[in-house]
Amino acid sequence: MINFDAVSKGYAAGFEAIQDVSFSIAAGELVFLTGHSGAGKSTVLKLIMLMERASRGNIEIAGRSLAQMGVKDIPALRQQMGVVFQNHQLLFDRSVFDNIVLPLRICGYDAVDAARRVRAALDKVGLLNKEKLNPQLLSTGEQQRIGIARAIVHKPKILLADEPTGNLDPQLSAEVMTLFKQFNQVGTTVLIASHDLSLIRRMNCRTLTLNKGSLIDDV
Amino acid sequence: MSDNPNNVRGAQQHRLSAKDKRRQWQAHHADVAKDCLRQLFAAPMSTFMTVLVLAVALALPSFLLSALSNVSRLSDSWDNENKISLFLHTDLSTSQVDHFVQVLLLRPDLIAIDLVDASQGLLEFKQQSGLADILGSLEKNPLPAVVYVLAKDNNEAALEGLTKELKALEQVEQAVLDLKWIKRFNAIVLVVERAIVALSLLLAFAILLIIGNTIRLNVESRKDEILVSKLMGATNAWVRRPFLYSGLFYGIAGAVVALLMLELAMLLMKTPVLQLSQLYESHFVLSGLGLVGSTVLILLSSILGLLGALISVNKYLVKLEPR
Repeated sequence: MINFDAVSKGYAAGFEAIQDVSFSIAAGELVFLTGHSGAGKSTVLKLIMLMERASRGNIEIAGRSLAQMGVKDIPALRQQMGVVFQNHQLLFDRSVFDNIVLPLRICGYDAVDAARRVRAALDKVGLLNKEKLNPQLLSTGEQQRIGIARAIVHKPKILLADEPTGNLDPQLSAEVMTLFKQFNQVGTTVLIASHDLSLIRRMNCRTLTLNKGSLIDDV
Repeated sequence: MSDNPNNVRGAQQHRLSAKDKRRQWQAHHADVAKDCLRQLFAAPMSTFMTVLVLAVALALPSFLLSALSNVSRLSDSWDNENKISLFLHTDLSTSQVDHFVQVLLLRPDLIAIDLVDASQGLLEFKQQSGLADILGSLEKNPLPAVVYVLAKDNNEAALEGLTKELKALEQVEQAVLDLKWIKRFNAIVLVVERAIVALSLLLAFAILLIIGNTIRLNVESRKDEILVSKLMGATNAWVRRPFLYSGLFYGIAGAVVALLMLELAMLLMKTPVLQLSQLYESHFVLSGLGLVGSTVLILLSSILGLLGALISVNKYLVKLEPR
């Protein structure tokens, strides 16, 4: 599902965020991506979403090479992904419901179907009663779960998460991880960037470890 | 959405038929348009001010252009460009004037001769000017007899030669070639027209800037939404849509208010213009932009609105493309 073949990403200043990284994630896998901050975790996720393009090497997502994708192909690529952002990127000018319905509106679902799916997603993260609230009124943990509901509401093939447990206490972190595991069990490919090593160890999943831009471990 | 045979959750994956897609697309357009209107009405004061500025920028050239077209319509009625007016000496007797006309009639280079003798001229002047009492108190008719002649040849040089020749006749005090001042008048109209076109271009540019800047501020305040939408796979067209609608609505509203302003100006000018034209015994009626002109104004303004919005959103969207 996700294939990196000798991928490097350099920036104008000569700084290389990742160097010569190769790995392959099969459909339906749950994989952690770890390493110190600045090791290149976010860069890997950005490359997968085509927020940035690789300087060298080849990336394939669902059998398609990203290097050959033009600007016009990006929407279709991103519509098959769900992303949980580190700072959850919720929009505070609208309700929880309107936040979660956004990907469905982008994909062109009709309003009735979309509303049903939003409630299903909210139910899944246990926040069904908060749909009318402004996300600003929710706790950090709740906001993070809204972010997750938004990432999975259109049933993406790939779920990416950038430090999803960054600001959460251990108990909330465990809950969030359980959610990811559930999505993975119904067939979604999940890639989670996290530096929470103890949590990763407990999850007992395949882990890619980055150090200063190089892949040093894949277990 | 792309078809993928590896999709393990095929049954749950979302699929849309072309018909459904079109329907969704239309529904989305309607939603976005409604949303835009709601946003414009949510800040009525700032929307009103923007629309007012646009309207003034649109009304000014429209007003000048319709004024100009009124004036040039006036000059269209002067079709006898080869007309020469001969003002005769006032001391000529009626028989002398008649004799002079007879002589003119024999000339092969003139096709029509129209005599307005002194008493007839005075009568007309009395009727038109309303100065009958004052004129009646004059001992002697101060007006000369006038002979209007139409030259056969309407070549400019020939006309001027003929005018000189006629002026040299002893009975003629002054010969005036009407062509000359019609030409001057038309030349002035052309210059003014060009000036108005230049002004219109400047104001069109101003409209582009006003709408572009308004939309830019709008984009600025919705940056997060745009970024998140893009990351979720929104197409550029999808992101642009609400802003284009805003630009379009600004354009249309500006044009409509401009038309109202023009109508008001016409209303204010109607009576004085009517009085003026009555004084000149003319059937001149002031005309506004008309249906075609109004449609063109709305269309142009809409295009400027869309264009301004497009430039502003694209400037931001380009920044979001992957490097």
